[in-house]
Amino acid sequence: MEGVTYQLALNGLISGFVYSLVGIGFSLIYKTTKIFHFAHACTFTFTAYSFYMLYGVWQVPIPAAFIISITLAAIFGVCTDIFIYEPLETEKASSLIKIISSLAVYIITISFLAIIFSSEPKVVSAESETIYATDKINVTRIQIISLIASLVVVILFFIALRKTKAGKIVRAMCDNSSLLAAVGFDLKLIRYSIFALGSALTGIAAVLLALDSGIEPTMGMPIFIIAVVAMIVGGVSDFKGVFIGALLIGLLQSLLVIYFQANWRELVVFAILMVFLFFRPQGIFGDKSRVEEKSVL
Amino acid sequence: MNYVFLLLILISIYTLLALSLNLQVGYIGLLSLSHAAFYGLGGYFYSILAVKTGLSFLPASAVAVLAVMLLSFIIALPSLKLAGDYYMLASLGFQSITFVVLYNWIELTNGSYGLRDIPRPKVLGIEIFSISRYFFFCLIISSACAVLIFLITHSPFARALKAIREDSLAAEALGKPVFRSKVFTSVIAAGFAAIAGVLFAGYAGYLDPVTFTLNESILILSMVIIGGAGNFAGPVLGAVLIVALPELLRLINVSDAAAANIRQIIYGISIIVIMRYRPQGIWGEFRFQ
Repeated sequence: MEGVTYQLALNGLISGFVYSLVGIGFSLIYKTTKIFHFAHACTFTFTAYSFYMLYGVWQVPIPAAFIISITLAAIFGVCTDIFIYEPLETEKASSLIKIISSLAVYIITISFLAIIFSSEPKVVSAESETIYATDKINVTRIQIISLIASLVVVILFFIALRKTKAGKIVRAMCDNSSLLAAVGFDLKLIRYSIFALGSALTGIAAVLLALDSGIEPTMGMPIFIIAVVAMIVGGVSDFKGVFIGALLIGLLQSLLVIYFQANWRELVVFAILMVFLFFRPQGIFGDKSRVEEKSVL
Repeated sequence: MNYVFLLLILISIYTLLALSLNLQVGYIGLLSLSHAAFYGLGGYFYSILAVKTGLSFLPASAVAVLAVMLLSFIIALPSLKLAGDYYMLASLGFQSITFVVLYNWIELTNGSYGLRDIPRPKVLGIEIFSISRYFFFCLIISSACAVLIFLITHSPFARALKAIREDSLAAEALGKPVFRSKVFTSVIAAGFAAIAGVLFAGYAGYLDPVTFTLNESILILSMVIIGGAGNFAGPVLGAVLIVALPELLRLINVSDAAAANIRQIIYGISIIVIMRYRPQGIWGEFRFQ
Protein backbone atom coordinates (compact mmCIF):
# COMPACT_ATOMS: atom_id res chain seq x y z
CA MET A 1 0.00 0.00 0.00
CA GLU A 2 1.16 3.47 -0.75
CA GLY A 3 0.95 6.49 1.51
CA VAL A 4 -2.09 7.82 -0.31
CA THR A 5 -3.98 4.66 0.43
CA TYR A 6 -3.22 4.89 4.14
CA GLN A 7 -4.32 8.49 4.16
CA LEU A 8 -7.57 7.70 2.32
CA ALA A 9 -8.27 4.71 4.57
CA LEU A 10 -7.80 6.86 7.64
CA ASN A 11 -10.04 9.64 6.29
CA GLY A 12 -12.67 7.07 5.36
CA LEU A 13 -12.55 5.44 8.75
CA ILE A 14 -13.02 8.77 10.50
CA SER A 15 -15.97 9.68 8.27
CA GLY A 16 -17.33 6.21 8.95
CA PHE A 17 -17.24 6.83 12.69
CA VAL A 18 -19.10 10.11 12.25
CA TYR A 19 -21.67 8.48 9.92
CA SER A 20 -22.23 5.75 12.48
CA LEU A 21 -23.55 8.35 14.95
CA VAL A 22 -26.21 9.43 12.46
CA GLY A 23 -26.95 5.81 11.63
CA ILE A 24 -27.33 4.75 15.24
CA GLY A 25 -29.50 7.81 15.92
CA PHE A 26 -31.77 6.98 13.00
CA SER A 27 -32.07 3.28 13.67
CA LEU A 28 -32.70 3.93 17.37
CA ILE A 29 -35.79 5.90 16.35
CA TYR A 30 -36.77 3.61 13.48
CA LYS A 31 -36.52 0.34 15.37
CA THR A 32 -38.35 1.47 18.47
CA THR A 33 -41.10 3.68 17.03
CA LYS A 34 -41.24 2.08 13.54
CA ILE A 35 -41.34 5.59 12.06
CA PHE A 36 -39.20 6.19 8.99
CA HIS A 37 -37.99 9.48 10.37
CA PHE A 38 -37.07 11.46 7.24
CA ALA A 39 -36.88 14.61 9.31
CA HIS A 40 -33.72 13.15 10.81
CA ALA A 41 -31.97 14.63 7.78
CA CYS A 42 -33.08 18.14 8.73
CA THR A 43 -32.28 17.58 12.42
CA PHE A 44 -28.76 17.18 11.13
CA THR A 45 -28.84 20.35 9.01
CA PHE A 46 -30.62 22.33 11.72
CA THR A 47 -27.95 21.42 14.28
CA ALA A 48 -25.13 22.28 11.91
CA TYR A 49 -26.65 25.72 11.32
CA SER A 50 -27.27 26.28 15.03
CA PHE A 51 -23.63 25.52 15.67
CA TYR A 52 -22.62 27.86 12.86
CA MET A 53 -24.66 30.68 14.41
CA LEU A 54 -23.33 30.04 17.91
CA TYR A 55 -19.70 29.40 17.19
CA GLY A 56 -19.12 31.00 13.80
CA VAL A 57 -21.22 34.16 14.14
CA TRP A 58 -21.76 34.85 17.84
CA GLN A 59 -18.32 33.56 18.88
CA VAL A 60 -19.61 31.39 21.72
CA PRO A 61 -16.71 29.21 22.96
CA ILE A 62 -16.66 25.76 21.37
CA PRO A 63 -17.69 23.59 24.35
CA ALA A 64 -20.72 25.77 25.13
CA ALA A 65 -21.68 26.06 21.45
CA PHE A 66 -21.36 22.28 21.16
CA ILE A 67 -23.58 21.56 24.16
CA ILE A 68 -26.24 24.11 23.17
CA SER A 69 -26.39 22.77 19.60
CA ILE A 70 -26.78 19.18 20.78
CA THR A 71 -29.53 20.26 23.15
CA LEU A 72 -31.27 22.09 20.31
CA ALA A 73 -31.01 18.92 18.21
CA ALA A 74 -32.68 16.92 20.96
CA ILE A 75 -35.44 19.52 21.33
CA PHE A 76 -35.97 19.56 17.58
CA GLY A 77 -36.34 15.78 17.53
CA VAL A 78 -38.78 15.71 20.44
CA CYS A 79 -40.82 18.53 18.84
CA THR A 80 -41.27 16.57 15.60
CA ASP A 81 -42.57 13.71 17.69
CA ILE A 82 -44.93 15.88 19.75
CA PHE A 83 -46.30 18.01 16.92
CA ILE A 84 -46.16 15.63 13.96
CA TYR A 85 -46.08 11.97 14.90
CA GLU A 86 -48.03 11.90 18.14
CA PRO A 87 -51.27 13.35 16.77
CA LEU A 88 -51.00 10.93 13.84
CA GLU A 89 -50.34 8.06 16.21
CA THR A 90 -53.47 8.78 18.24
CA GLU A 91 -55.48 8.65 15.02
CA LYS A 92 -53.84 5.32 14.14
CA ALA A 93 -52.53 6.77 10.90
CA SER A 94 -50.64 4.39 8.61
CA SER A 95 -46.89 4.59 8.40
CA LEU A 96 -47.26 5.94 4.84
CA ILE A 97 -48.87 9.06 6.30
CA LYS A 98 -46.07 9.44 8.84
CA ILE A 99 -43.41 9.15 6.14
CA ILE A 100 -45.13 11.77 3.99
CA SER A 101 -45.50 14.15 6.94
CA SER A 102 -41.87 13.58 7.84
CA LEU A 103 -40.83 14.44 4.28
CA ALA A 104 -42.86 17.63 4.61
CA VAL A 105 -41.01 18.56 7.81
CA TYR A 106 -37.75 18.04 5.96
CA ILE A 107 -38.79 20.30 3.09
CA ILE A 108 -40.08 23.03 5.41
CA THR A 109 -36.95 23.06 7.57
CA ILE A 110 -34.41 23.21 4.78
CA SER A 111 -36.44 25.90 3.00
CA PHE A 112 -36.47 28.00 6.17
CA LEU A 113 -32.72 27.56 6.54
CA ALA A 114 -32.21 28.49 2.89
CA ILE A 115 -34.27 31.67 3.31
CA ILE A 116 -32.43 32.75 6.46
CA PHE A 117 -28.89 31.76 5.50
CA SER A 118 -29.17 31.57 1.67
CA SER A 119 -28.30 28.31 -0.05
CA GLU A 120 -24.61 29.21 -0.44
CA PRO A 121 -22.19 26.89 1.42
CA LYS A 122 -20.66 28.39 4.56
CA VAL A 123 -17.38 27.73 6.31
CA VAL A 124 -17.62 27.23 10.05
CA SER A 125 -13.98 26.93 11.00
CA ALA A 126 -11.09 27.98 8.78
CA GLU A 127 -8.58 25.99 10.77
CA SER A 128 -7.23 22.84 9.17
CA GLU A 129 -3.82 22.65 10.77
CA THR A 130 -2.06 19.36 10.67
CA ILE A 131 -1.03 18.30 14.11
CA TYR A 132 0.35 14.88 13.32
CA ALA A 133 2.28 14.22 10.17
CA THR A 134 4.63 11.57 8.92
CA ASP A 135 5.80 11.05 5.38
CA LYS A 136 2.78 8.79 4.86
CA ILE A 137 -0.17 10.40 6.60
CA ASN A 138 -1.21 13.60 8.24
CA VAL A 139 -4.11 14.21 10.54
CA THR A 140 -5.87 17.45 11.36
CA ARG A 141 -7.01 18.42 14.81
CA ILE A 142 -10.69 18.20 13.83
CA GLN A 143 -10.17 14.66 12.56
CA ILE A 144 -8.70 13.60 15.89
CA ILE A 145 -11.54 15.25 17.80
CA SER A 146 -14.05 13.55 15.48
CA LEU A 147 -12.44 10.18 15.94
CA ILE A 148 -12.26 10.38 19.73
CA ALA A 149 -15.71 11.95 20.20
CA SER A 150 -17.52 9.43 17.98
CA LEU A 151 -15.62 6.49 19.41
CA VAL A 152 -16.46 7.51 22.98
CA VAL A 153 -20.12 8.11 22.19
CA VAL A 154 -20.49 4.84 20.30
CA ILE A 155 -18.83 2.84 23.07
CA LEU A 156 -20.98 4.52 25.72
CA PHE A 157 -24.07 3.79 23.65
CA PHE A 158 -23.30 0.10 23.35
CA ILE A 159 -22.44 -0.22 27.05
CA ALA A 160 -25.68 1.53 27.97
CA LEU A 161 -27.64 -0.68 25.58
CA ARG A 162 -26.24 -3.86 27.14
CA LYS A 163 -25.83 -2.97 30.80
CA THR A 164 -28.39 -0.39 31.90
CA LYS A 165 -32.10 -0.55 32.49
CA ALA A 166 -32.67 2.15 29.84
CA GLY A 167 -30.88 -0.06 27.35
CA LYS A 168 -33.12 -2.96 28.28
CA ILE A 169 -36.19 -0.79 27.73
CA VAL A 170 -34.91 0.23 24.29
CA ARG A 171 -34.32 -3.39 23.33
CA ALA A 172 -37.76 -4.33 24.61
CA MET A 173 -39.36 -1.53 22.61
CA CYS A 174 -37.62 -2.72 19.43
CA ASP A 175 -39.36 -6.06 19.90
CA ASN A 176 -42.81 -5.08 21.03
CA SER A 177 -43.77 -1.61 22.19
CA SER A 178 -47.38 -2.33 23.11
CA LEU A 179 -46.27 -5.10 25.46
CA LEU A 180 -43.90 -2.60 27.07
CA ALA A 181 -46.84 -0.27 27.67
CA ALA A 182 -48.90 -3.17 28.99
CA VAL A 183 -46.39 -3.96 31.73
CA GLY A 184 -46.63 -0.39 33.00
CA PHE A 185 -43.97 1.70 31.32
CA ASP A 186 -44.82 5.24 30.28
CA LEU A 187 -44.48 4.86 26.53
CA LYS A 188 -44.74 8.59 25.89
CA LEU A 189 -41.80 9.41 28.12
CA ILE A 190 -39.73 6.63 26.55
CA ARG A 191 -40.55 7.92 23.08
CA TYR A 192 -39.47 11.45 23.97
CA SER A 193 -36.22 10.15 25.41
CA ILE A 194 -35.58 8.08 22.31
CA PHE A 195 -36.24 11.00 19.97
CA ALA A 196 -34.03 13.22 22.15
CA LEU A 197 -31.18 10.71 22.25
CA GLY A 198 -31.39 9.76 18.57
CA SER A 199 -31.44 13.41 17.51
CA ALA A 200 -28.61 14.33 19.89
CA LEU A 201 -26.42 11.57 18.41
CA THR A 202 -27.05 13.04 14.97
CA GLY A 203 -26.38 16.49 16.38
CA ILE A 204 -22.90 15.44 17.51
CA ALA A 205 -22.14 14.19 14.00
CA ALA A 206 -23.53 17.40 12.52
CA VAL A 207 -21.24 19.60 14.60
CA LEU A 208 -18.20 17.45 13.81
CA LEU A 209 -18.91 17.51 10.09
CA ALA A 210 -19.70 21.22 10.12
CA LEU A 211 -16.29 21.90 11.65
CA ASP A 212 -14.59 19.62 9.15
CA SER A 213 -16.24 20.52 5.85
CA GLY A 214 -18.62 23.48 6.18
CA ILE A 215 -22.37 23.60 5.85
CA GLU A 216 -25.17 24.09 3.32
CA PRO A 217 -28.95 23.54 3.53
CA THR A 218 -28.94 20.36 1.46
CA MET A 219 -26.12 18.71 3.44
CA GLY A 220 -28.46 16.59 5.57
CA MET A 221 -29.98 14.35 2.92
CA PRO A 222 -26.79 12.62 1.66
CA ILE A 223 -25.69 11.95 5.24
CA PHE A 224 -29.17 10.71 6.13
CA ILE A 225 -29.11 8.34 3.18
CA ILE A 226 -25.69 7.06 4.27
CA ALA A 227 -27.18 6.42 7.70
CA VAL A 228 -30.09 4.46 6.26
CA VAL A 229 -27.80 2.51 3.96
CA ALA A 230 -25.54 1.72 6.91
CA MET A 231 -28.56 0.29 8.71
CA ILE A 232 -29.50 -1.84 5.72
CA VAL A 233 -25.95 -3.02 5.08
CA GLY A 234 -25.50 -4.05 8.69
CA GLY A 235 -28.94 -5.59 8.98
CA VAL A 236 -31.89 -4.02 10.73
CA SER A 237 -31.89 -6.59 13.51
CA ASP A 238 -28.82 -5.31 15.37
CA PHE A 239 -27.31 -1.94 16.32
CA LYS A 240 -23.80 -3.32 15.86
CA GLY A 241 -24.62 -3.82 12.20
CA VAL A 242 -25.31 -0.10 11.77
CA PHE A 243 -21.92 0.75 13.21
CA ILE A 244 -20.03 -1.67 11.00
CA GLY A 245 -22.11 -0.69 7.98
CA ALA A 246 -21.22 2.97 8.50
CA LEU A 247 -17.50 2.18 8.79
CA LEU A 248 -17.65 0.10 5.59
CA ILE A 249 -19.39 2.89 3.67
CA GLY A 250 -16.95 5.50 4.93
CA LEU A 251 -13.97 3.36 3.92
CA LEU A 252 -15.36 2.40 0.51
CA GLN A 253 -16.36 5.96 -0.31
CA SER A 254 -12.90 7.18 0.51
CA LEU A 255 -10.86 4.37 -1.04
CA LEU A 256 -12.78 4.31 -4.31
CA VAL A 257 -11.47 7.82 -4.99
CA ILE A 258 -8.30 6.05 -6.11
CA TYR A 259 -10.21 4.49 -8.98
CA PHE A 260 -12.92 7.04 -9.71
CA GLN A 261 -13.13 10.81 -9.77
CA ALA A 262 -14.19 12.26 -6.45
CA ASN A 263 -17.50 13.64 -7.72
CA TRP A 264 -18.73 10.11 -8.42
CA ARG A 265 -18.31 9.02 -4.82
CA GLU A 266 -21.90 9.76 -3.90
CA LEU A 267 -22.85 7.09 -6.40
CA VAL A 268 -21.07 4.50 -4.27
CA VAL A 269 -23.58 4.86 -1.44
CA PHE A 270 -26.59 4.44 -3.71
CA ALA A 271 -24.99 1.57 -5.55
CA ILE A 272 -24.45 -0.17 -2.20
CA LEU A 273 -28.06 0.59 -1.25
CA MET A 274 -29.43 -0.89 -4.46
CA VAL A 275 -27.19 -3.97 -4.33
CA PHE A 276 -28.21 -4.73 -0.76
CA LEU A 277 -31.91 -4.01 -1.27
CA PHE A 278 -32.05 -6.23 -4.33
CA PHE A 279 -29.73 -9.06 -3.37
CA ARG A 280 -29.37 -9.16 0.39
CA PRO A 281 -32.11 -7.12 2.05
CA GLN A 282 -31.44 -8.76 5.41
CA GLY A 283 -27.98 -7.15 5.52
CA ILE A 284 -24.59 -8.69 6.22
CA PHE A 285 -25.40 -9.76 9.76
CA GLY A 286 -29.14 -10.17 9.35
CA ASP A 287 -30.87 -13.44 10.05
CA LYS A 288 -32.76 -15.38 7.44
CA SER A 289 -36.04 -13.46 7.56
CA ARG A 290 -35.92 -10.67 5.02
CA VAL A 291 -36.24 -7.06 6.17
CA GLU A 292 -39.40 -6.28 4.30
CA GLU A 293 -41.25 -8.90 6.31
CA LYS A 294 -40.32 -6.96 9.42
CA SER A 295 -41.28 -3.71 7.79
CA VAL A 296 -44.24 -2.09 9.47
CA LEU A 297 -46.12 -1.41 6.26
CA MET B 1 -50.23 37.30 -22.46
CA ASN B 2 -47.09 35.22 -22.85
CA TYR B 3 -46.97 34.91 -19.08
CA VAL B 4 -50.39 33.27 -19.03
CA PHE B 5 -49.31 30.84 -21.72
CA LEU B 6 -46.13 29.98 -19.82
CA LEU B 7 -48.19 29.26 -16.74
CA LEU B 8 -50.64 27.14 -18.71
CA ILE B 9 -47.78 25.14 -20.25
CA LEU B 10 -46.41 24.42 -16.79
CA ILE B 11 -49.87 23.44 -15.57
CA SER B 12 -50.36 20.99 -18.40
CA ILE B 13 -46.91 19.44 -17.83
CA TYR B 14 -47.43 19.09 -14.09
CA THR B 15 -50.96 17.76 -14.51
CA LEU B 16 -49.51 14.98 -16.61
CA LEU B 17 -46.85 14.30 -13.97
CA ALA B 18 -49.32 14.27 -11.09
CA LEU B 19 -51.79 12.06 -12.95
CA SER B 20 -49.11 9.52 -13.78
CA LEU B 21 -47.61 9.47 -10.29
CA ASN B 22 -51.12 8.98 -8.94
CA LEU B 23 -51.27 5.64 -10.79
CA GLN B 24 -48.52 4.43 -8.47
CA VAL B 25 -49.29 6.30 -5.28
CA GLY B 26 -53.06 6.42 -5.42
CA TYR B 27 -53.95 3.18 -7.15
CA ILE B 28 -51.39 0.71 -5.86
CA GLY B 29 -50.48 2.62 -2.72
CA LEU B 30 -46.73 2.64 -3.36
CA LEU B 31 -44.84 5.74 -2.30
CA SER B 32 -42.42 6.53 -5.13
CA LEU B 33 -39.78 9.21 -4.79
CA SER B 34 -38.30 8.76 -8.25
CA HIS B 35 -40.90 10.39 -10.48
CA ALA B 36 -38.68 13.41 -11.14
CA ALA B 37 -35.94 11.03 -12.26
CA PHE B 38 -38.13 9.53 -15.00
CA TYR B 39 -39.35 13.01 -15.89
CA GLY B 40 -35.78 14.27 -16.18
CA LEU B 41 -34.53 11.21 -18.03
CA GLY B 42 -37.30 11.62 -20.60
CA GLY B 43 -36.24 15.22 -21.15
CA TYR B 44 -32.55 14.37 -21.29
CA PHE B 45 -32.88 11.38 -23.64
CA TYR B 46 -34.99 13.47 -26.01
CA SER B 47 -32.68 16.48 -25.88
CA ILE B 48 -29.50 14.47 -26.36
CA LEU B 49 -31.05 12.76 -29.38
CA ALA B 50 -32.36 16.04 -30.76
CA VAL B 51 -29.20 18.07 -30.14
CA LYS B 52 -26.43 15.54 -30.82
CA THR B 53 -27.95 13.39 -33.55
CA GLY B 54 -30.37 15.89 -35.06
CA LEU B 55 -33.29 13.45 -35.00
CA SER B 56 -36.62 15.18 -35.55
CA PHE B 57 -39.22 15.51 -32.81
CA LEU B 58 -41.38 12.44 -33.27
CA PRO B 59 -38.69 9.74 -33.55
CA ALA B 60 -36.54 11.39 -30.87
CA SER B 61 -39.37 11.61 -28.37
CA ALA B 62 -40.60 8.10 -29.16
CA VAL B 63 -37.13 6.67 -28.54
CA ALA B 64 -36.80 8.72 -25.34
CA VAL B 65 -40.12 7.56 -23.92
CA LEU B 66 -39.47 3.93 -24.81
CA ALA B 67 -35.99 4.09 -23.30
CA VAL B 68 -37.37 5.47 -20.04
CA MET B 69 -40.06 2.78 -19.97
CA LEU B 70 -37.44 0.10 -20.51
CA LEU B 71 -35.30 1.55 -17.74
CA SER B 72 -38.24 1.72 -15.36
CA PHE B 73 -39.07 -1.90 -16.21
CA ILE B 74 -35.54 -2.96 -15.28
CA ILE B 75 -35.74 -1.01 -12.02
CA ALA B 76 -39.29 -2.10 -11.23
CA LEU B 77 -38.59 -5.83 -11.37
CA PRO B 78 -36.33 -6.03 -8.31
CA SER B 79 -37.69 -3.04 -6.40
CA LEU B 80 -41.35 -4.09 -6.53
CA LYS B 81 -40.36 -7.28 -4.75
CA LEU B 82 -39.68 -5.05 -1.77
CA ALA B 83 -42.52 -3.91 0.41
CA GLY B 84 -43.41 -0.60 1.98
CA ASP B 85 -40.50 1.40 3.37
CA TYR B 86 -38.02 -0.51 1.28
CA TYR B 87 -39.72 0.20 -2.02
CA MET B 88 -39.67 3.88 -1.15
CA LEU B 89 -36.00 3.60 -0.29
CA ALA B 90 -35.18 1.91 -3.59
CA SER B 91 -36.99 4.68 -5.46
CA LEU B 92 -35.07 7.27 -3.46
CA GLY B 93 -31.87 5.44 -4.42
CA PHE B 94 -32.80 5.51 -8.11
CA GLN B 95 -33.71 9.19 -7.90
CA SER B 96 -30.35 10.04 -6.40
CA ILE B 97 -28.35 7.84 -8.78
CA THR B 98 -30.07 9.54 -11.72
CA PHE B 99 -29.16 12.95 -10.38
CA VAL B 100 -25.51 12.02 -9.78
CA VAL B 101 -25.23 10.59 -13.29
CA LEU B 102 -26.90 13.59 -14.96
CA TYR B 103 -24.70 15.92 -12.94
CA ASN B 104 -21.38 14.17 -13.49
CA TRP B 105 -21.54 12.60 -16.93
CA ILE B 106 -20.36 15.84 -18.47
CA GLU B 107 -19.52 14.50 -21.95
CA LEU B 108 -23.13 13.53 -22.47
CA THR B 109 -25.25 15.85 -20.33
CA ASN B 110 -22.95 18.86 -19.99
CA GLY B 111 -23.26 18.46 -16.21
CA SER B 112 -24.17 21.46 -14.14
CA TYR B 113 -23.80 23.80 -17.15
CA GLY B 114 -26.88 22.18 -18.59
CA LEU B 115 -27.87 21.22 -22.10
CA ARG B 116 -28.53 24.30 -24.20
CA ASP B 117 -30.18 25.06 -27.52
CA ILE B 118 -32.72 22.28 -27.48
CA PRO B 119 -34.75 22.95 -30.63
CA ARG B 120 -38.46 23.68 -30.51
CA PRO B 121 -40.29 20.69 -31.96
CA LYS B 122 -41.35 20.50 -35.58
CA VAL B 123 -44.30 18.18 -36.08
CA LEU B 124 -45.80 17.23 -39.43
CA GLY B 125 -44.01 20.09 -41.09
CA ILE B 126 -45.31 22.71 -38.66
CA GLU B 127 -42.66 24.47 -36.64
CA ILE B 128 -43.99 25.22 -33.17
CA PHE B 129 -42.06 28.30 -32.33
CA SER B 130 -44.24 30.82 -30.53
CA ILE B 131 -45.23 30.32 -26.91
CA SER B 132 -48.95 30.32 -27.74
CA ARG B 133 -48.49 27.59 -30.33
CA TYR B 134 -46.36 25.60 -27.94
CA PHE B 135 -49.11 25.85 -25.38
CA PHE B 136 -51.66 24.36 -27.78
CA PHE B 137 -49.17 21.67 -28.69
CA CYS B 138 -48.66 20.86 -24.97
CA LEU B 139 -52.38 20.96 -24.38
CA ILE B 140 -53.06 18.48 -27.18
CA ILE B 141 -50.39 16.02 -26.04
CA SER B 142 -51.15 16.19 -22.34
CA SER B 143 -54.89 15.98 -22.97
CA ALA B 144 -54.34 12.90 -25.08
CA CYS B 145 -52.28 11.39 -22.26
CA ALA B 146 -54.88 12.45 -19.72
CA VAL B 147 -57.61 10.74 -21.75
CA LEU B 148 -55.51 7.57 -21.79
CA ILE B 149 -55.00 7.78 -18.03
CA PHE B 150 -58.72 8.45 -17.58
CA LEU B 151 -59.50 5.30 -19.56
CA ILE B 152 -57.02 3.31 -17.46
CA THR B 153 -58.41 4.62 -14.18
CA HIS B 154 -61.97 3.79 -15.25
CA SER B 155 -61.19 0.31 -16.49
CA PRO B 156 -61.51 -3.01 -14.68
CA PHE B 157 -57.72 -2.96 -14.45
CA ALA B 158 -57.89 0.05 -12.08
CA ARG B 159 -60.39 -1.81 -9.90
CA ALA B 160 -57.93 -4.68 -9.69
CA LEU B 161 -55.21 -2.20 -8.71
CA LYS B 162 -57.38 -0.79 -5.94
CA ALA B 163 -58.06 -4.31 -4.73
CA ILE B 164 -54.30 -4.93 -4.62
CA ARG B 165 -53.85 -1.67 -2.70
CA GLU B 166 -56.47 -2.55 -0.11
CA ASP B 167 -55.51 -6.20 0.36
CA SER B 168 -52.95 -7.70 -1.93
CA LEU B 169 -53.27 -11.19 -0.47
CA ALA B 170 -57.02 -11.25 -1.13
CA ALA B 171 -56.48 -9.91 -4.64
CA GLU B 172 -53.92 -12.61 -5.29
CA ALA B 173 -56.29 -15.26 -3.95
CA LEU B 174 -58.87 -14.06 -6.47
CA GLY B 175 -56.37 -14.71 -9.23
CA LYS B 176 -55.29 -11.12 -9.89
CA PRO B 177 -51.71 -10.94 -11.14
CA VAL B 178 -50.44 -8.70 -8.33
CA PHE B 179 -46.78 -8.42 -9.23
CA ARG B 180 -47.39 -8.08 -12.96
CA SER B 181 -49.99 -5.34 -12.40
CA LYS B 182 -47.59 -3.39 -10.21
CA VAL B 183 -44.79 -3.62 -12.79
CA PHE B 184 -47.15 -2.64 -15.61
CA THR B 185 -48.45 0.37 -13.69
CA SER B 186 -44.96 1.55 -12.78
CA VAL B 187 -43.76 1.31 -16.38
CA ILE B 188 -46.83 3.20 -17.65
CA ALA B 189 -46.36 5.90 -15.01
CA ALA B 190 -42.70 6.30 -15.96
CA GLY B 191 -43.65 6.53 -19.65
CA PHE B 192 -46.07 9.40 -19.03
CA ALA B 193 -43.46 11.13 -16.86
CA ALA B 194 -41.02 10.84 -19.77
CA ILE B 195 -43.56 12.46 -22.10
CA ALA B 196 -43.85 15.32 -19.63
CA GLY B 197 -40.05 15.54 -19.66
CA VAL B 198 -40.00 15.82 -23.45
CA LEU B 199 -42.62 18.58 -23.30
CA PHE B 200 -40.60 20.42 -20.67
CA ALA B 201 -37.37 20.15 -22.67
CA GLY B 202 -39.06 21.53 -25.77
CA TYR B 203 -40.57 24.37 -23.80
CA ALA B 204 -37.52 25.42 -21.78
CA GLY B 205 -34.93 24.83 -24.50
CA TYR B 206 -32.49 24.21 -21.69
CA LEU B 207 -32.11 21.37 -19.19
CA ASP B 208 -30.07 21.28 -16.04
CA PRO B 209 -29.89 18.42 -13.54
CA VAL B 210 -30.89 20.61 -10.58
CA THR B 211 -34.42 20.72 -12.02
CA PHE B 212 -34.82 16.98 -11.41
CA THR B 213 -33.82 16.44 -7.80
CA LEU B 214 -35.54 14.77 -4.88
CA ASN B 215 -37.28 18.09 -4.17
CA GLU B 216 -38.97 17.92 -7.56
CA SER B 217 -40.15 14.37 -6.79
CA ILE B 218 -41.57 15.61 -3.50
CA LEU B 219 -43.23 18.52 -5.32
CA ILE B 220 -45.03 16.16 -7.70
CA LEU B 221 -45.93 13.90 -4.79
CA SER B 222 -47.39 16.84 -2.91
CA MET B 223 -49.63 17.67 -5.89
CA VAL B 224 -51.05 14.16 -5.70
CA ILE B 225 -51.42 14.32 -1.93
CA ILE B 226 -52.89 17.80 -1.66
CA GLY B 227 -55.26 17.38 -4.60
CA GLY B 228 -56.14 13.89 -3.50
CA ALA B 229 -54.92 10.43 -4.45
CA GLY B 230 -56.79 7.50 -5.89
CA ASN B 231 -59.06 9.11 -8.45
CA PHE B 232 -58.75 11.19 -11.59
CA ALA B 233 -59.84 14.63 -10.39
CA GLY B 234 -57.59 14.92 -7.32
CA PRO B 235 -54.16 15.11 -8.98
CA VAL B 236 -55.46 17.52 -11.65
CA LEU B 237 -56.72 19.85 -8.96
CA GLY B 238 -53.45 19.46 -7.02
CA ALA B 239 -51.30 20.30 -10.04
CA VAL B 240 -53.36 23.38 -10.91
CA LEU B 241 -53.34 24.62 -7.31
CA ILE B 242 -49.65 24.07 -6.67
CA VAL B 243 -48.49 25.60 -9.94
CA ALA B 244 -50.91 28.53 -9.97
CA LEU B 245 -51.26 29.64 -6.36
CA PRO B 246 -47.59 30.46 -5.70
CA GLU B 247 -47.78 32.88 -8.62
CA LEU B 248 -49.64 35.10 -6.17
CA LEU B 249 -46.27 35.49 -4.45
CA ARG B 250 -45.27 37.66 -7.39
CA LEU B 251 -47.77 40.24 -6.23
CA ILE B 252 -45.87 40.77 -2.98
CA ASN B 253 -42.44 41.36 -4.50
CA VAL B 254 -40.18 38.71 -3.05
CA SER B 255 -36.94 37.72 -4.73
CA ASP B 256 -37.00 34.63 -6.93
CA ALA B 257 -34.78 32.57 -4.62
CA ALA B 258 -36.92 33.37 -1.60
CA ALA B 259 -40.10 32.74 -3.58
CA ALA B 260 -38.95 29.20 -4.41
CA ASN B 261 -38.33 28.50 -0.74
CA ILE B 262 -41.55 30.12 0.43
CA ARG B 263 -43.40 27.95 -2.07
CA GLN B 264 -41.77 24.84 -0.62
CA ILE B 265 -42.72 25.92 2.89
CA ILE B 266 -46.32 26.49 1.80
CA TYR B 267 -46.71 23.09 0.27
CA GLY B 268 -44.85 21.43 3.13
CA ILE B 269 -47.29 22.90 5.61
CA SER B 270 -50.23 21.98 3.39
CA ILE B 271 -49.05 18.37 3.31
CA ILE B 272 -48.80 18.20 7.09
CA VAL B 273 -52.25 19.74 7.57
CA ILE B 274 -53.80 17.49 4.93
CA MET B 275 -52.18 14.32 6.27
CA ARG B 276 -53.46 15.20 9.73
CA TYR B 277 -57.04 16.25 9.00
CA ARG B 278 -57.93 14.95 5.57
CA PRO B 279 -55.58 12.21 4.36
CA GLN B 280 -57.58 11.67 1.17
CA GLY B 281 -56.68 15.20 0.01
CA ILE B 282 -59.06 17.85 -1.22
CA TRP B 283 -60.79 15.76 -3.85
CA GLY B 284 -59.32 12.28 -3.57
CA GLU B 285 -60.40 8.85 -2.42
CA PHE B 286 -57.40 6.97 -1.07
CA ARG B 287 -56.75 7.66 2.64
CA PHE B 288 -53.26 6.04 2.78
CA GLN B 289 -54.46 3.48 5.29
